[in-house]
Amino acid sequence: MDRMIKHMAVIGVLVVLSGLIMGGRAALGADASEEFFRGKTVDWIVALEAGSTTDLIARTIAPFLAKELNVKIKIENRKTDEGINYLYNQGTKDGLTLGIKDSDSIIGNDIAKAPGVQYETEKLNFIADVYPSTKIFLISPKLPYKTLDALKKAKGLRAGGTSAKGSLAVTCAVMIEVLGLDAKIITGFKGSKELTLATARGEVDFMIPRDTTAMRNEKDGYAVSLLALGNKRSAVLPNVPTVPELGIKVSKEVATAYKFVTSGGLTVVLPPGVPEARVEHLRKVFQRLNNNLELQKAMAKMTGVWLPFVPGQDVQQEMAAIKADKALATKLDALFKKYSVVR
Amino acid sequence: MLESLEAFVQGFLNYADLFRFGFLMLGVLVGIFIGVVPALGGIVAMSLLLPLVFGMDKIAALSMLVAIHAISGTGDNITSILMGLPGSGPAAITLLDGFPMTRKGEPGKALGAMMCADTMGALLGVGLAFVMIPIVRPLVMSFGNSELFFLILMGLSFLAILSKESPVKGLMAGFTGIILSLVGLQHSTGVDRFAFGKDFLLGGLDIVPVILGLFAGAEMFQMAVFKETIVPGGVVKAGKELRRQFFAGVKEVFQHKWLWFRSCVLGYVMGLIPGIGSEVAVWVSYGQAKQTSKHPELFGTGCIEGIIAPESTNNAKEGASLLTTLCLGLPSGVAMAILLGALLLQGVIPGPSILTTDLELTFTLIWGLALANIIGAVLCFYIIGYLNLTWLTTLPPRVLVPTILSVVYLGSYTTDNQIAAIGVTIVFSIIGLVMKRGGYSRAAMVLGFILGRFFEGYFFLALQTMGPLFFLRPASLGIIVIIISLYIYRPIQSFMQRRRGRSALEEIAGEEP
Repeated sequence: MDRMIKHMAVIGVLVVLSGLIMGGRAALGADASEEFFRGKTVDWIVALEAGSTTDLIARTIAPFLAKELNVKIKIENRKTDEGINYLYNQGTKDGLTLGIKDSDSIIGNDIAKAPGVQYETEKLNFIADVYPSTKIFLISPKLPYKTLDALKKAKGLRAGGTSAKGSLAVTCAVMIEVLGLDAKIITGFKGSKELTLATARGEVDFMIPRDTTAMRNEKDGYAVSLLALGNKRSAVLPNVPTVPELGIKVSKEVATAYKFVTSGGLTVVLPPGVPEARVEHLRKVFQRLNNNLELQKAMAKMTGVWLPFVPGQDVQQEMAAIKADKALATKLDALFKKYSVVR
Repeated sequence: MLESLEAFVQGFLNYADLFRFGFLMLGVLVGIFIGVVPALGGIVAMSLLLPLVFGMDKIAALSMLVAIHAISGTGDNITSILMGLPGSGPAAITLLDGFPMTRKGEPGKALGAMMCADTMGALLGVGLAFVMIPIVRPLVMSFGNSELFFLILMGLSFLAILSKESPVKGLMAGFTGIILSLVGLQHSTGVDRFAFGKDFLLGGLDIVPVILGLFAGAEMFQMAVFKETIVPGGVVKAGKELRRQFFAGVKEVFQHKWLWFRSCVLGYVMGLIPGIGSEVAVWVSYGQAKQTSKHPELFGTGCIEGIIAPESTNNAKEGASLLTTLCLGLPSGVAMAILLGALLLQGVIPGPSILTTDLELTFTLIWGLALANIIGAVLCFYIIGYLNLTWLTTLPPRVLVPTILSVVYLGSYTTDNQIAAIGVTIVFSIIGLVMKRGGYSRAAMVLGFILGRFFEGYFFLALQTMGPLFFLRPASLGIIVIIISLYIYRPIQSFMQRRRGRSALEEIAGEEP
């Protein structure tokens, strides 16, 4: 009995010691990471042009992040896929090169095998989703149909997108299928501003932007919000009903595609190969920023509403699940080809 | 109306506050400094300063950004005229006649005309803003993809006339430019063209490395090969003579007041419409100036009208773009998009509601644009006229060529932070040199290059959104009439002159006994 007690005591001491060692290591790792960043310069690659929403959000967050990390931040704008390619291939593996881009473009271009894509999404380290917004189905004010039922009866509707197979166009393709509309997608608009103007003029009948854009477009009389994608109402447009609230059933065939177009926001990423402790440290830093009232105020001014950053681990899991679904790319491609004016 | 007038006056009076005026001045100084470095430009400075805007005085912060944007173009034009070193599309067109004027020993005249046209264009922009506010929205809404397509077509129709001697050579150069504009991913279809699997070509060729190569690179190669200076020693007059030239250039703008006014209105209308960048507007303006000139053969050889037209257009356009950004919330370019971000950070939501909530701010910024131009012109006059910057043009090639080429390659690199951009500049330097020696118009190539992609894109969108009869829209028909008028103007004018001459002869013959 005594021997047993002795064994138990030894085991207990060992457990406590190993716990202390592990905890100490973790604490040391966190401290080491904090120390590593102090006084250094972080390159933040914005995978879109200066002045874009992505760029403006990065520039809004940058001074707060710099203070929290004790670093200097240098923002560098690069063309969309080229930006993530650069981060993936040439970004330093020490945590000092960050990237920012909307997650549905990162994963969408990867699974669609868009020309020039040189990265594998699941190998990127996602730090946070800094703009987890909702997509809104916007219709032209020139359109005679004002309800979803009337829209379903209409013939030859025109949806607008920017680049072929880009996230705006793919979202339209999926929603045309989900809502059972008689519509085609016209791609080639230079950006969301040009698309907004086309919607306002009645050159296209609907577009599906994120809620901040939708809110401004509606306020300025350029478009009318019809429904919110996903299961949760938008924080920016709380009066707009969601797809399930309107009694729309999403069929099993398009369920994964629908889930894909309703997920994601604007993600901060690190290249592969960055030490785990630094990835975790950066994730924690972004979560700490959630409590910064000044940042909340600045983000609310920039985007219309403050939405807390989503933890990087959640985004990582979501991206991995999308990438693992081998049938999704084929489905999205088939839907785009079905409704696009270009085949 | 009374409220608008009050906001208009108050907008100006806001600069009586020394703090705000100081930030406007700071913006002007940063703009001049940053503008002279190719490709660095106002956009870089505005992006860097954007985070500082948060928490600053609204008018001071926004005026500083507006001033940087307004003046960086002037700084860019100075190097373009003096050294043949353009840092952007609009500066490339000022070079076409500005640089030959420098080589002829008239840099002051070119600079004077450029700055006067710039400033007066901006001032007209202020006046027009007051008139245009009520109609800006309907005007923008009436310009769809079809109208944009015909505006681009108008620009492309000037391809043949841009060549000094041979229209065929002009067309050849122009179509080469159009083909080059097709490099990269086609936006509507997602198909890559002429990219040869190269990552940096997928996004298309950037305008800055191309023009730096075609103009600055080619000139430097030529100087290196033929051991030339920009201006043979002694031809460039400094001091008093330079200042006299400057005022002569200013006077030229008043002597060409109708060209100035026409170019300003053209720029203003094009500036109001999102989707048309400065690059497009200035080339259309240059084309119309050449097409309606009494001596079109002088364009490209140092013709003052070739400076007045694009410069007036460019600055009148800036006032209009600012108005569209503020009143419609629709930025027409990268600089305006950054300004839009700054407005949002200041808690100002641009859009139609600004006319009721922040009309005073709207006029303040438009006045800021004009004041920045006036201050910028005075400062530039001082810098050029009293610091004798023109001595740079007499430097021997062994000093000038490596220095300028270093700046050119640095400018290319900074456009996209890619080494490949330097390669593009070197290739286009060789192409530019060959074109120059062979008498092929580099301007026509740039025009084709800038407009080619717009032409394809707007044609596709007009066809898809409006169907094959898209050209029957009233505004489209109006532009078609303008294009036709531009081309029949000269034959009709010469026909009328011939007829008048004949009847005068007949009268003389009739009077003879």
